[in-house]
Amino acid sequence: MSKVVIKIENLSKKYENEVLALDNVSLEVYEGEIFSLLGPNGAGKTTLIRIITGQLKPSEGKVWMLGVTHEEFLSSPVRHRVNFVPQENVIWEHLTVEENMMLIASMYRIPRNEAKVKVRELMEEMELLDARKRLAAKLSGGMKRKLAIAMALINDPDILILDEPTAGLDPRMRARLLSDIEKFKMRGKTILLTTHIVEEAEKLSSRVGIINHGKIVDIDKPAELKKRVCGLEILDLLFSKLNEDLMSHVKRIIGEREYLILGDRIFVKGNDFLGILNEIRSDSVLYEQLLNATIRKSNLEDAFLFLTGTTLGGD
Amino acid sequence: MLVFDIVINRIKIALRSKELYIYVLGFPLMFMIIYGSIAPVYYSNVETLKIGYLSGDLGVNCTLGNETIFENYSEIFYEYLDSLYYESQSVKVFSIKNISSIEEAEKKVARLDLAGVIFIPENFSIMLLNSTRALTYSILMPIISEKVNEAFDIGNIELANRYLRALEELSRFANSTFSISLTIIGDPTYSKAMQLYEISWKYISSFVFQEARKFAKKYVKYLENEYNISIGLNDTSLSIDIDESFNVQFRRIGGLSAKETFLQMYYSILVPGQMIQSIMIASVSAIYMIGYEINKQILQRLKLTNVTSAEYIGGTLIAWGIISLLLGVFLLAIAIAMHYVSAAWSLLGILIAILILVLSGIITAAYSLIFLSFTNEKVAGNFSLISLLTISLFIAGYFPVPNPVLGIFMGRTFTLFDLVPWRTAMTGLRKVLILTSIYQPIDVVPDLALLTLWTIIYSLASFITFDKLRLKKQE
Repeated sequence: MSKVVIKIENLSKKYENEVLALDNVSLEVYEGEIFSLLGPNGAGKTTLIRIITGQLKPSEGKVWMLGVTHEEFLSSPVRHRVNFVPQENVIWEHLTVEENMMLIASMYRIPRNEAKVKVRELMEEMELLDARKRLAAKLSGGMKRKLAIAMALINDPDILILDEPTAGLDPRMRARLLSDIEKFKMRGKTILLTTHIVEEAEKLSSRVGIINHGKIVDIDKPAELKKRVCGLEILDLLFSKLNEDLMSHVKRIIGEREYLILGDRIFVKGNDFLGILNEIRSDSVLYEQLLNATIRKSNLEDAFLFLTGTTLGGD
Repeated sequence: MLVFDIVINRIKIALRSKELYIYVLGFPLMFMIIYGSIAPVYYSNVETLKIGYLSGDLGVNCTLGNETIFENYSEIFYEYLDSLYYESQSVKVFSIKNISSIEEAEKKVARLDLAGVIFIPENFSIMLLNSTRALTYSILMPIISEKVNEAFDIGNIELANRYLRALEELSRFANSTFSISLTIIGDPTYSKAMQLYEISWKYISSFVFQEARKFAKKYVKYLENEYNISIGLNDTSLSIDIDESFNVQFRRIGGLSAKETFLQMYYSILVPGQMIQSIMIASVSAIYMIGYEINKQILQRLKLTNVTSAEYIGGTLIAWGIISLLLGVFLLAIAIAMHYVSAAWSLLGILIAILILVLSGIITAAYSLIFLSFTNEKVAGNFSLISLLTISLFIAGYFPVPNPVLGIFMGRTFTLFDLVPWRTAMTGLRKVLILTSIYQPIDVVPDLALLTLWTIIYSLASFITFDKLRLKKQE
């Protein structure tokens, strides 16, 4: 089994306004994996990241980063082996791309000549070389994000923490960034990222932690999680008006299968749904009210739905 | 070196930021020009000034022909000042209180009970008589010379000789000098004291001219009777551009003599004050740069790097020292170009002035960081600006608060106001930029020493508070 690099034990955080942002969270992140925290906005992901990176004090519990507790983290040399990219792009807008990189390199006391080589390599890797003389303020949102990540890689950290790395990016830029993150993993980096985007978590993650209302609901590999929580397939039924009478018809047809109602929609988990679809078609009451019926592979959004009873959008 | 990189990049950011330009260049320039323009309005207000009058005048015997009379011009001057009203208004210019000793004068001035005390020296009447004689000579000489020529032209040699004898008698005044010395005892950074300087200059000029005119008329009458001639003096021939005729000298307390022109005196408070205020306002912008780093979580990120609190804060303060240096050079160039600083200045004086401005910039940036340690950048920015503007008014003497002497260090008297570092900066700037005829560079050493001490204290205070409350603090 891989080495644990981040260990979180019974962590809770209650803010001064009595809001409980984290509730008894425990998890472990292993060396070399991409661990995604998947949850809707306000689930407590950023609070968790801020505690891990030493910005925020927990109300209860403990965090170990590379064996160092959260109290000692900021005064320990271990902090130089960790870097993080918050949701906000941590860049100096009035410096050029290259100046930003060189300044942060200087702050890590990387010798100037070595820093120049490293900065050039990172700019090449993140496709920032052509923009190196441009002020950061003049870059697009995606380029700013790339710069922020490149700056976080300057010290060649063992652990990279990314808070919503693709937030606000267009699909093309998002895809490019995700492949960059995969490359970091291939280089043996441990990556902890937060996201509310299912595809991102599924595509990248070695393991996913589902977080909702400050609680870790489940942790597993994406495929295992989906299979365990939802089965292989999901039957997604949308009715014009779902009522008790209609539900009794549905229940009769799906039998013991596990299901979940969300508004006028019913999600049924399992597999081999063709027989059920035929029965629905032959039930005139149901068929008349049915707007759409889909059989699809289950995904992490479904897992989240079955685990929390809500969608990642908070519905 | 990391601190060097921080300094360079801070300056780059400042120079590339529009917002910072407004603070660093826009506001200072605006204040300098606006204050420079409105200052005459300020000095023309019609408030009665409470002043003291301390006369040591021994009087003078004034001989005209066979007649000798004793004159005490300080008494006449007192009555003249007491009778002055602002034009077209019923407001007296001065409310005068007789003062019996220098000690009493200093006491009342230190408490700001009085705008200042006019101290009349013992030879005041002699000086005034000499000045009126000199003025009379310069008025009558061309008139009587013309009369001599006219008499020769018409062939009246006897009349010409009588004019020549009158001219010969008049030439006894040729060696009389224009020189009036007064001492104004006052706190030179108190705005009303400055006002007293200005209007005293104006009224002593008028008084001397009034006495000279009286004397000239009396003297013409004497010459006409004595030599049976007609000089024909009228008001037009008595009109002399007094500014070009002679210069009033002021002597300040401390016994150091100063020959200050009106312009030099006029700006002796304003220009240094404006410069210090400009540096103060510009340096508050440090709040916005650091505030940006707090808001954008840059500061949080930097906690993971090797940068130390000393490097971060030191780099910031040094950067603002350099920005103040650039601004100081800019302000000095404007002040010189606009003839605000018209005193003879030396390169050393300019360098000391720049050093003072640099230290003021560092102190202000440190002062701003202390506020930013406790609150967000908007509150800290507003509070710093308001408090610094209040301080700038305070150091200009707008508030009548007592200013007791705390002690003497290196020959300089330190007062309660010197505990406000910008006041020390202003005092030092005045010495090197304006009062160069009074002070030598060595005289600025106590001010520089105190300012350096304040720079160290404020920098340390900002380091301790910012380090503890921002850099090391976990929410």
